[in-house]
Amino acid sequence: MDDMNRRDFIKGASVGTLGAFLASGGIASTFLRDRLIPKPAKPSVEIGELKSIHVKCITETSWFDNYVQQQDFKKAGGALVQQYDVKFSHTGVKEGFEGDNAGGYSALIEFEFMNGDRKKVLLDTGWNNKWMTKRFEEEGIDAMLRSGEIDTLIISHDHYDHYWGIQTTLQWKPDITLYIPDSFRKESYQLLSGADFPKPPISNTVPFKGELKKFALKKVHKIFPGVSLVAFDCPCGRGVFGEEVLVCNVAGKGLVTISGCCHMGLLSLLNFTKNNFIGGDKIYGVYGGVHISPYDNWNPANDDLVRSINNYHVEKLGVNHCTGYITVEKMIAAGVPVIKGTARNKTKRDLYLGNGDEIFF
Amino acid sequence: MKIENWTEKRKLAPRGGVFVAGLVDLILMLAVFMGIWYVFMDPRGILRMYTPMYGYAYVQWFLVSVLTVHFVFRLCPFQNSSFLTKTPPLIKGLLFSIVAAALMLLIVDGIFKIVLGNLAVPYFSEETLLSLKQNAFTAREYAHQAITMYGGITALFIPLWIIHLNNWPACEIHSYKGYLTSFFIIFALAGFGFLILFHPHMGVLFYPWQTWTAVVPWWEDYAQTLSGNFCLGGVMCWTAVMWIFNVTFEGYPFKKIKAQPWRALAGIFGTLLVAVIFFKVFLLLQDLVWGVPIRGSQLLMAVDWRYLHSGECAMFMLLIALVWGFYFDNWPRKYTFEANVLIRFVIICVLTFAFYVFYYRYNPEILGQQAGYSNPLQYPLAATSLIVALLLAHNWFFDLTPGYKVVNKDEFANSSEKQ
Repeated sequence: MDDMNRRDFIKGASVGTLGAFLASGGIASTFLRDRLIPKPAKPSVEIGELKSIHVKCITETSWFDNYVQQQDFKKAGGALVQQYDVKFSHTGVKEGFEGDNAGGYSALIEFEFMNGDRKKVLLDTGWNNKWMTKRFEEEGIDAMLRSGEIDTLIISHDHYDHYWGIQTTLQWKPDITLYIPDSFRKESYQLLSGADFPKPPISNTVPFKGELKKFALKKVHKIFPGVSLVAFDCPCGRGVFGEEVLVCNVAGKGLVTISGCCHMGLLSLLNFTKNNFIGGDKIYGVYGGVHISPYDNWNPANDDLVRSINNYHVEKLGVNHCTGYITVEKMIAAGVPVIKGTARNKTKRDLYLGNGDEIFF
Repeated sequence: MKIENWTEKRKLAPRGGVFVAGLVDLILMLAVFMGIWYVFMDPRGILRMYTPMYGYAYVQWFLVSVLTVHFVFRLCPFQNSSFLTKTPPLIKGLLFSIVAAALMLLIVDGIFKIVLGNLAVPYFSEETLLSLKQNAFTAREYAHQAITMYGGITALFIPLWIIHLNNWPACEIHSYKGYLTSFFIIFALAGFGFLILFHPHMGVLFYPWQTWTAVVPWWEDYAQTLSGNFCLGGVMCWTAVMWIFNVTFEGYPFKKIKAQPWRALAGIFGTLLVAVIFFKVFLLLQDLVWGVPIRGSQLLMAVDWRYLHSGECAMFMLLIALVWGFYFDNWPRKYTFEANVLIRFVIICVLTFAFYVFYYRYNPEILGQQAGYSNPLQYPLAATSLIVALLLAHNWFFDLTPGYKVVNKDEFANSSEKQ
């Protein structure tokens, strides 16, 4: 082809620039986007109401030393190595429980229904059976399980720190009703039946004998009056997929979310609640881990969250566990109503609700 | 006789038809990729470097090194015609690949971790960050994230410099002096780009924000995120667009402009404009599938991830464009130029979509990654960048053997004898 002369070039460049500018502007234009992107449907999920919720944090310290835990993952090959293939540190950890770095996450939730009836359920069952047994005994969970006062265990997701302590619950109530997301790893089912995994190591010597209820992902499941389980199809890391979160409707106050780790993201959860639940325009409270900086690691996108959370006008944030201290410091600085704790039972700081602390909705 | 632009002068012919040759090469390259991935990267494999940033940094710089060895250094010091024509492609390719790997190690471990990380910018060195009380995980990820981002922008600047500025000043100084000067100019310009596009991200990556040493990300109001993924997505789109113009469109329309600086201006700003369009189209497609993202959300609904994913989509497209261009000889070629390009582009779009679906369906089984489109701990960019690096190396270093062979070796031998 022949060389272009300067006039042709300028003409071509001008036309090209104008065309590209218009194309780019057209693609981004509000006019086009408004017509192409479907509008969200009106909230339609009706779950009824309940009178109140009382949450007691049995343990939110899933591990006691961030550095040791991270070294364990680093040695195993990083955060993408699936959890049953990681050798965890269980001895010689100064900050650990009896030298073991493993702790666990578990909460006791008491629902008070509109007719005055009450129901207690456990959310998650932690990791280290010794630590979990100690905490369950200290908070009277062992007696509640033995007596049947607690007859339901909800596993938010099968991460090691939420699920591997299954033996702790089963030792007092092997026939407990178990709610799980239907995305459990095959190893997690094996653990429930009494398997032994030598590498982490983790085992369960009390096979499960109760009713297993699996909840399909991407659905809202009404489980009690005013209480639903929402199963999200989100990647959780360490080879785990899918997490279920409780969304409840407290009469006169608004909606309350209770999560294990909230791997789907706090604002995704709040938006889902807002867009799908009748009454979603008023989200009253949040409890649980909301997975932002579990190792006090950071990402500038987390600042986006901190800067946006107040737009949801949540009145009570009982966040802890994988939320991370850095996040909570930033939230407090931004005026987010985070509920403080008492820093006892091996929770290090009083910035958020720790082991043995309670919150009422 | 010295050959400075071997890959432009050699003539390749397929063994047994373009599609058979292309398939053989593609399968072989993917087998090599799987082997490398399993040994170095796979979370179920041997070295498990895909943490993800640790392994990704090396992949990114291997890609840059392949570009450098071929594009910037013009295969120097192995430009002798008898070496290039008589050495078996496998030996020659292995030699160039080793040189590229050595360059990668020199840059990542030498320039970044030892020199810059100790004497200039702590976040380029995992060890320095550890000594400053960053924890084990973040020290490794942050340091390698910074190194990767620098590599990302270098991988953009090299073809920009070579294709549109003709590798100045090496185009005038035909020796290692010229190549080194070009390399340092590109590396310095990439540093300038890094300072503007990614250093602000690193500034707010730490707690508290390092606002004394890095500005608060200037793109925040426009992009609705503080994350550098906005810039990374843009850089990836620009890189992909530049290669698509160069390979799929055979360098047109910019190739028509011979005079500088018009060619450079048209090439640089023209591809930038098209990259902006690509970026916006990919964002719009995501909005259509997943809804409008919300600032502060995570995973699929995160604003910053959507930008990153636009870049990832562009890389998928680049990969397919290179496969089609290198292995399948940019089929078709028999119609008018415009028709050829249009058909090719449609094929690339369709194959990109198919590859995208395949990748997200099977990557947990094949690559050992987590299921799901969005995961804060992994990026398809690492795998796609490694495939792109291997594709380029296969073409430039191994002469696309065994699917293709060089058929004009005698021309060089004859001219060498005449000299």
